[in-house]
Amino acid sequence: MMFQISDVPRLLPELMLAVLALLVLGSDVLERWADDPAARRERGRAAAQLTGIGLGLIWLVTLVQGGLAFTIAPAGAAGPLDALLSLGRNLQAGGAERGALLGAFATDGITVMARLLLIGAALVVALLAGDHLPDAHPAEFFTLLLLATLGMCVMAAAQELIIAFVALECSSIALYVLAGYSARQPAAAEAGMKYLLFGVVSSAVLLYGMSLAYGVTASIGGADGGPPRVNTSFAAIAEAVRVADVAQRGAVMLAVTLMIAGVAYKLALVPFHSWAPDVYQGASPTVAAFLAAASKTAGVFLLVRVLTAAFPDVAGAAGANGFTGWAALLALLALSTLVLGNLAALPQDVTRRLLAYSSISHAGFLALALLPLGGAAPLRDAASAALLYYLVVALIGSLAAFGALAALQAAGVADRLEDLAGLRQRNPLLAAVLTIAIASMAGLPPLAGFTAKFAVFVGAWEAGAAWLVVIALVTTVIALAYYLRVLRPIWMQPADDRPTVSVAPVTAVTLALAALALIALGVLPGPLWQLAQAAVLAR
Amino acid sequence: MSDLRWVIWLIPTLPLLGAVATLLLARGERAAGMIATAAAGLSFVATLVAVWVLQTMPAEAARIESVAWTWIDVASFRVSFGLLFDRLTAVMALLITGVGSLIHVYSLGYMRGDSRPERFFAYLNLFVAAMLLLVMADNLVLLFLGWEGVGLCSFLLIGHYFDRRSVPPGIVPAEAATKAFVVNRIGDAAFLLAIMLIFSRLGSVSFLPNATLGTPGYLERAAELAFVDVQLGPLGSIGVLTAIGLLMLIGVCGKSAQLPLSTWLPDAMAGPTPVSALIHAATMVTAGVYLIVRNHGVFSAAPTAASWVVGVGAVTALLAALSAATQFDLKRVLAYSTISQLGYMVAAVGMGAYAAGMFHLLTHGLFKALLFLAAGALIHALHDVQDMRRMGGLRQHLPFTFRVYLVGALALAGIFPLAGFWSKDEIIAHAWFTAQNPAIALILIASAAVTAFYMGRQVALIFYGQPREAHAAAHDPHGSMRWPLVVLAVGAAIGGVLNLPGVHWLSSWLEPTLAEPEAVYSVGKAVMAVIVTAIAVGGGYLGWWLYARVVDGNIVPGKTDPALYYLGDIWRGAELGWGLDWLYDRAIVRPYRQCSAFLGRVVDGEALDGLLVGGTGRTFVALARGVRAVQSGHARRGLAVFLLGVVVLLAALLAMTMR
Amino acid sequence: MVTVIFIAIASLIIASAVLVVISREIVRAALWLIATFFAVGALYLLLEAEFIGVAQVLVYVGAVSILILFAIMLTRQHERHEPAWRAGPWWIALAGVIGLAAVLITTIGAVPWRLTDDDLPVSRAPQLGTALMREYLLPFQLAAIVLLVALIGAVVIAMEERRRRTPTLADDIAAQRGAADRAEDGTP
Repeated sequence: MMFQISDVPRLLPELMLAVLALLVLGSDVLERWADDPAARRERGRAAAQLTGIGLGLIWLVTLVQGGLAFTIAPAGAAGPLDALLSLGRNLQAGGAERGALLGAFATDGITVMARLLLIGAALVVALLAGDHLPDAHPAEFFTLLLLATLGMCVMAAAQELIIAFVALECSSIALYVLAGYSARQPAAAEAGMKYLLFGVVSSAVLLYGMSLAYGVTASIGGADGGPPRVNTSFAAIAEAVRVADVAQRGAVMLAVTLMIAGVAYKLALVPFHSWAPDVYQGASPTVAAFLAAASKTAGVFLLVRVLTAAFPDVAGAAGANGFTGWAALLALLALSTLVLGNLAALPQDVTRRLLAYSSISHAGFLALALLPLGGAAPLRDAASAALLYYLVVALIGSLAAFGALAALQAAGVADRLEDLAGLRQRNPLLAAVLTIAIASMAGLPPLAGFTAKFAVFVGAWEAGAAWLVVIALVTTVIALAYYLRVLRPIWMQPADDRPTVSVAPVTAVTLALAALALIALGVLPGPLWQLAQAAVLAR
Repeated sequence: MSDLRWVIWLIPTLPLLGAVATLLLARGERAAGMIATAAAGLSFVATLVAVWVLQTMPAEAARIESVAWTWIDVASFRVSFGLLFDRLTAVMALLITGVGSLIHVYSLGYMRGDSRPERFFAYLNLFVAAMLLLVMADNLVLLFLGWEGVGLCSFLLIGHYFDRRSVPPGIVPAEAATKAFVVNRIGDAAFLLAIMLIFSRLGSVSFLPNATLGTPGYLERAAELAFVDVQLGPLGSIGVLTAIGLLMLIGVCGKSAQLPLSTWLPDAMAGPTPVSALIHAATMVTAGVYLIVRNHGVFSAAPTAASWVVGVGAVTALLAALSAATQFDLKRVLAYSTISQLGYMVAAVGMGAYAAGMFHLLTHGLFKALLFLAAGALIHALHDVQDMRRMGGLRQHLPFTFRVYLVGALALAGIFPLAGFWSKDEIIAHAWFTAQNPAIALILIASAAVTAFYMGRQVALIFYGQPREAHAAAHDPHGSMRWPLVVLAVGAAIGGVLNLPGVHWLSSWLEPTLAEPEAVYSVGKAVMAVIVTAIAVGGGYLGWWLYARVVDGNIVPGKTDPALYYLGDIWRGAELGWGLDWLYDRAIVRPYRQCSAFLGRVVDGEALDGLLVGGTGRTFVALARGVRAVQSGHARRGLAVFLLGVVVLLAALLAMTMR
Repeated sequence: MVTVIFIAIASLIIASAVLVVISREIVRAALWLIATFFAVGALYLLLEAEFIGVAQVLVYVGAVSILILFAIMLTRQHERHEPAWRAGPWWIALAGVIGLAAVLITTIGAVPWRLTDDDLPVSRAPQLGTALMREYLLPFQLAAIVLLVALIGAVVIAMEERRRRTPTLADDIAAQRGAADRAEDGTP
């Protein structure tokens, strides 16, 4: 895993993120520093704009470089666009080689998808944060946002234990600070502190699992009967696991369990979820959106990497063919998450807390989608594509929902359910966005959530976990009951004398686009589905 | 006439565009009503054109298929966004757009002065679009889209009067809407399972082979699986088709308000009356019947499931009819009556009498819409009085309403020669002669008697006897509320010609689609018809005589029915819908709420404190400057749960490896 | 002999770690934490990982512990607090710990670990340095970013954006004018 000069273009989006972060941090010095709120807001705006523009650029570079959606023809006729096209060609040429650092860092289709998703989420959050600037240190806020995104991108591409862990810490530490950013507000400080405590414990658990995996690898001979490979790469672990005997497999499973538990907190799977409601409620709403959308997605990608690259031989099954391996562990987690998450959401009165529980229950669906990844090739590929699809939809959905709540909070609307009363009159756009996002989460056709859930169900069903699909379906019935609790005040309560809600144009456009995407992806899921398939197959 | 095939896309698109236009462009009641009504009317015209195109095709290939795009393409799971317009669809589409247009016209008058007319008409149009999608979908997933869509519109429309704290008889509209949606969702979940089972066992969700996508049709492959079982682990095994059929039946029970999921429909009467007429009588609730007819291949190959369908339908028909006989709320009588009539249809299609079921669906759509609209006219005339104990003797004040109501009531009661007679008689005759199931036939005959009884009772309570309350200003409907009633009354009167014995246009129209053997008419059936009619006349007269002549003076607003004296608890049980609401409240809703409140506390870290240590330790300690961190027990307990989670996972792991 | 030393060090680690948790005085807890760090360093030395052992003592004992002690002394009032574990359901934690230990010991104990360590490369400082600069260059660089994140985080948490200390002339004039206005109104 030597670092070569040709690895630079393969790590281009990550490098650009780091550079952008430093730019944002450094350019803050050039702004007008004064004590009045106007100057502070100006400074924050500048940082937000720089971040937004930079992230948009990086997103485009990633899109072009990834070459998933389109490939630029190798030699074009000399035209006015040729300079631009050749730039794109060069980018794609640089990204085509699969696997930087001699395989320690995957640059396959899944990485490209992960980058697109995570950088896209950061972009949306940066746009939304324009009217949610922190009281102090605005540039640092966006720097941390960018560095957290960097950590998540690396995390999603890791093929090696140390990279995975350091990247996880990179994103986590930034997120601890972001969660408690408005330190003067006790709720935010509490959220940050709580997130930190849980993060530290789960890091310890994860690290313990990793060291066990490393230890087992170091004491098992190679596949050819040769001496053991002392290596932290997932490939070496997988090779060792393949030839492990029964007792060693026990230790391997222990390692897998601890690692799943360590990452499960990122996804907020029950019982590793207790931080989520408090943090989503206490943190600034844009940070909550980032946590619900990006952080969770990154965790899923890390699990995908670890489970499919390092432990494919202990995948097991969670259905009629037996109940073993990490598939069974994920099935247990999915079960507890779906049941408890959905049941606990019902009595909530605070909108963001309710959505936090809904986000927890979505983690259950994600665990369900991860189940079939240990199966045979055609099934696994379809299930991976379904997982990617679900991730995209869930990401957009949570960004839209939490983003709408952020806009509401920016307009001074309190966060209890009854404060949403008559929203349809007070701001039709926000009402529509919130409704579409929630209906998509509830899985109502023709919105994207339905298609995504259906794809996940089919995958899990084919993998033999039909019993879990039945339970998941029953929980969607329960879920509707609490989703309607949000929709009812919006559409079926008079506004009385509550004031109208105004939204900044950038926020309005961003949210409207997200809601439109949910509709479009539901009605025409084909393009995204092909993208997901291409990402899975471009190994 | 292949060049006119595109017209089928207009049928659902026009109301959809109408909904969007109404919501976005229309300002004011008139504009909204006009746009929406025009959209519905144009859709009806488009349907007529499509039916004409269908008529020009040879009978065995009489279907228009059109795929717009591939909707879902997940590995081998391929779903088209395509429409199928065959003869069965044509019948449903005609009913939906025809009755739908009439009800739009009626709403122009009925909703006058409403505070949110744009939303009402937009939702109504959206409903029509979704319902058309439901019946025109060429595969189950698209059908499910329509299925959920109508549920959503139903939710929105039931809650239309959300600003009224409660509507008679004491229903909170927003809660009724939620109840309808959630109860329906139970059926939907089962339906989704059925879809998945169909896909995993039959390899396709398209009804017919789809050339564009290259998917086979599952209906024709259903018979191959007649003897294949699906393993349920420790629960034994069950035939695949039986499982599919039973799961679909649960879906049907939700959507078509059959027992035991029927409880939402009476509460759904909280919506505006045109909504009750269109959605909760004529169209949406018949979606379940349509589903079974569409999947007749599955049900005829799964006799166990089919017999469950028959049982559910027949029992629902009788029990709901008894409930209808005890209600005092004008619309609740009709709601229970709808459940009961849907029971007839479900029983019919379960027995394989698909044409008869569809026939009853059509005639019922006509006369029940008529009854609801006439009831709406009454409610309008009496200024939102729905309690029949506060009516009486309205025959003189409202002669027109009385006449159309009487037509509807007689049709529903199955009195010769009105529409209901022919369709109901056909079902009973099928049960007795073709299916040779006297028990079911007797239940249905008994239900027919009760049906006639409650309609006689209702007519007597409303229009006969002493006026129990003064309604001097009451007047018959005018204009746009009047002539839809006339059209529907004519339809309810002569609707029977659609499938007269010996002519049976409907049966032969549907024959290529349903492949059902033609019914043979015999003297026995005629005798049967005479007997059933006699029973119905007797029941109806009894109801009328009892309430118009005997106990007329004893009926006081707010007091119980005099018949309670004779029947006691049976009456009371029927009045409460056999206590299903009570049962669900005790057995499901309350435990569920308590459970989720408890879990909300346990899972929700905030209250974990209270549970474990009685709220102590919630102390805030200031750490460094500016940062106030929590040092409450709260986070610690969350971490304890975390740790326990790890331990449980590890223990589960050990348990797995031990085996 | 090695076993005896190991058992001694291990029991020291466990005992001092338990004392960290149950000490009533937070300063004592911090001191026991230092003891734990020391013992862990000794364990590294026993494993012939000198560099890590020394780094452990330098970083944890030398820097982290001192920082913790400073933080306690600067922020904490001198009062005896009931230790945290008594307020909560410690029996749950105890059960959890025992259960965890049982599972870990049974599973790990069953594995035939390879005990010879001739060809393990990363134990001496030069190899470690080479590995960090070659194989593990990316995580090494990433660790730098993690440090940057931590630094920014510390700044954000600890530093308030201060008000200007020296008021400008305009501020003075405004303040004087305000005082004069109040005097005219007759309000104090």
